Amino acid sequence: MKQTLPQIFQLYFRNPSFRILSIIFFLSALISKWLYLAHQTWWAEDVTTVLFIVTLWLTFYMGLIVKRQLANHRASLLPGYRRQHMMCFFVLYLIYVLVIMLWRDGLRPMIEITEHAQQGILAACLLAALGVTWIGYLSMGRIFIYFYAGILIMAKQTLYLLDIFEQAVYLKYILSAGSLLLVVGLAVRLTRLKEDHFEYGYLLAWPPRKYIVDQVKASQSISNIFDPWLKIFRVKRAPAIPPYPRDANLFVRSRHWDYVDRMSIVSILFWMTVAAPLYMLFIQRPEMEKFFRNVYTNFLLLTMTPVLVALGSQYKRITYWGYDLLKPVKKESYVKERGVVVLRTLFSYWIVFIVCLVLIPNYVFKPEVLHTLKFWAFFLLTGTFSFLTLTWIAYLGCESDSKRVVIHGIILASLVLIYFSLMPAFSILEMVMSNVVCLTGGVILTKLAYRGWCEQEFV
Amino acid sequence: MSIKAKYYFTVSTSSGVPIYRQIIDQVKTHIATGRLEMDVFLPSVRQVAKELVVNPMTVSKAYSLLEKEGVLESVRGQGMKVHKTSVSKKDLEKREDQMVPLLKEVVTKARQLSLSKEKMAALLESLWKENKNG
Amino acid sequence: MDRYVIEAKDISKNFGAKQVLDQLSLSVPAGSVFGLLGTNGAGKTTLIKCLLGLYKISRGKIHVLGDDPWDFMEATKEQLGYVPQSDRVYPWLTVKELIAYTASFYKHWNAPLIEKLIKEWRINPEEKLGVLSEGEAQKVSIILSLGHEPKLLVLDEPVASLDPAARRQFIKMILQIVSDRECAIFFSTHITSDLERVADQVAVLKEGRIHFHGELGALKDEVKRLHIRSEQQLPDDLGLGREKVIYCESSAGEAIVSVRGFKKEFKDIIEATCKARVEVEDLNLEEIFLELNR
Repeated sequence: MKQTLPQIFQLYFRNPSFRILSIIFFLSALISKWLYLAHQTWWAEDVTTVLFIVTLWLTFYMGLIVKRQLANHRASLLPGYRRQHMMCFFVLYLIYVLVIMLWRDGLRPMIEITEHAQQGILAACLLAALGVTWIGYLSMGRIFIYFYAGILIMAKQTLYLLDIFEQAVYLKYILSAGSLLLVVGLAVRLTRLKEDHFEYGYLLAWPPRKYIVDQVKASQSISNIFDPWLKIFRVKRAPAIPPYPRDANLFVRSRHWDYVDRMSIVSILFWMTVAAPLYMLFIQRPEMEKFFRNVYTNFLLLTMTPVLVALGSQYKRITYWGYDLLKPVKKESYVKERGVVVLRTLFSYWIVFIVCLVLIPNYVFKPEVLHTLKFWAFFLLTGTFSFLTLTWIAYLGCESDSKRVVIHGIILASLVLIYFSLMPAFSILEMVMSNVVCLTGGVILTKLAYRGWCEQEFV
Repeated sequence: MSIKAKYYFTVSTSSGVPIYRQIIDQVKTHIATGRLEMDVFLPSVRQVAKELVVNPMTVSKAYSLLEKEGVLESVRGQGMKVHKTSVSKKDLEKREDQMVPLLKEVVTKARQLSLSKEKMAALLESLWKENKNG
Repeated sequence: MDRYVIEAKDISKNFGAKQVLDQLSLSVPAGSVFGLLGTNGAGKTTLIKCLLGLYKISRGKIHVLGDDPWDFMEATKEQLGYVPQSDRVYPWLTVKELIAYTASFYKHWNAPLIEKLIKEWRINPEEKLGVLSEGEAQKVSIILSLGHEPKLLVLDEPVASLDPAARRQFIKMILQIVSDRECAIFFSTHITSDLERVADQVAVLKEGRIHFHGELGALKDEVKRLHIRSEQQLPDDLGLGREKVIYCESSAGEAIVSVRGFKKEFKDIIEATCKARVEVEDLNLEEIFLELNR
């Protein structure tokens, strides 16, 4: 029995993605602390942003991993399996939480914070982390994206959150209680997890096609939430996919491949009708007034979320591209049509985000902003930047040399980070120029991606 | 001297006859033709099962049925011994029954090939002589 | 409790509106090799998962090795081995690491046996699980279930992806286990020729119930196909009773009838009642399965 724990730990750290995320996690915690001690406070804060993003992905991943370990016949049939795996999970989680707690000095140099506020922040972070772990456990990838966006918004408003925690000291107790509830709930659920439970199917199954079957099972109950909206908007679930319109133009042809995934229009409508009013109510609170001091701070949210969603919806289908090619359609034509699908998805999500989170609130609360050129340049820039990012990722998707992928990945991530940090300070000229650069870059990358994907093996 | 089961028994899983019955029939046939002589020890259940790749319980069932009929005798510590080589009248009927399906096929084929009964009898004679010598 | 390793009484299982198992009863004697036959979708995998406590049954009682499978004691788990239909985990682990990982949960682990099997079945222990073919992955699954030398081994379509040579190795291995020690083996399969060799008990699962349950030899003695030739019209039940007739196909003066519960006297009975000539055809397990599933 003694040898089980090292074996289980091995499962975590032999997992390539988990290993990379953990390395970045520990490194950034270390570097940020070191930078702070070396009085490079501005850089320390930037590195902690990395830490923050990695932590979110890490908690999500941990939820996935623990489920993967326990959504298994072994959990019910191997002696001591469940107990040992759960123990390992909570111990590991605790270690990561302790690292964050030890790091917390990273916040101090930027602003004056009281002990209460800091505890409040930590409690909030813990609750958010556990929430994300739960989402990972339930394999609700899509919801994670929205949650992620929400957390990013909140994260940007640290200063205002600090005020809240200063004033309402009791809040941290409520948040801690919430965390405890989530921990206990997870433990109970894991102890009882059997194949009958809806969340048994899991993301990252192997082989990749099994993942889709499992994911469908897991998300079936989630999609049932949308049924009332289907009725309201009178959207009919189509019974069958119509034949491929061979003689139509590129745009119409591409809709054929998107037929099944286009159900997401319902989720868009869902979020618009539910999220937008909630959002309006939320931002009317006096603390949130400062939220709009600078509309340009939401750059990251507005550009990255549509990209992630567009990629996410295609990732599901990617294992079937090989089968799609068996249909009477030329590979070049297919790649073009797929490209159109991805771009169209990106565009639709971008429009929804920009309208819901920027246009409408500003129209209601600060209409004068809408008359400035800067605003519209910004507006366009969110679109072109997403376009650039997406095409870059698409291009990297067909790159087989892992070194080049890593280098490109680092360049892209740095670009995102730079733009995200510096956006509020951009002048109109800089925004317009960025627009042009992004657009041209995007177009070039589209061509490169197209050529690359034509050469790809679709298995 | 141990007998290798593989050389004495063959089992077919696609035949409708249960395996234990196939073994029983083959033991009896070997005894009748003299291939298995009296007081010879048959291989153990485990050995037969291993060589024929069948469940030992099947072999065990065949052996115990043969023992019940008195064809085999169980000797403590040594295994199953061939007990009887003499053939009773009842056995004769059984053995004839075994030949009937084969002979039916022969008759059908002979008719198809337009071979007369006398021709067939002559063929049988010469083949019988050959088998005896060889 | 010692006589039967698995005892299921009137168990039912449904997924929503779909009733998969319907008041099914089953008992597996200790030390037997038990084969479960059934068409695709008949519910073999569901039955196995219910018996092992992976699914919750909606009604009925199950005892496996004297214990309730929904909440096995650790001691029971030490005696139990399971090979699922497909078991793909952790593609970046090697075979050796998976073995070490599995072994760490058991008090008793026969490492030399595992090593021997790995060699015999020609598996490369340094190979990553992700690159194994379906057949190799299945072999690894089977080997893993044997390490702790369980008293009960449950396998779900264990040879579906194995080539004939590998299947033969598998059968030999099962027979080796059965003759070496006390171990009951319960497996579901389509491949009837393997069952013919190795099983002493079979059960046929159809429409959520067990349609036959008993010794293989008895099944083959009881289910026969009769070729009947008669001048006169043949009654539907051939004078034997309706429940005995499985299927009847007839045209002028000739009929092919499959029956269950066959006894030697039937031939004479039919010949007398219907003034017919009857030939009795023995059926192998595959034919029996087809007849029972008409």
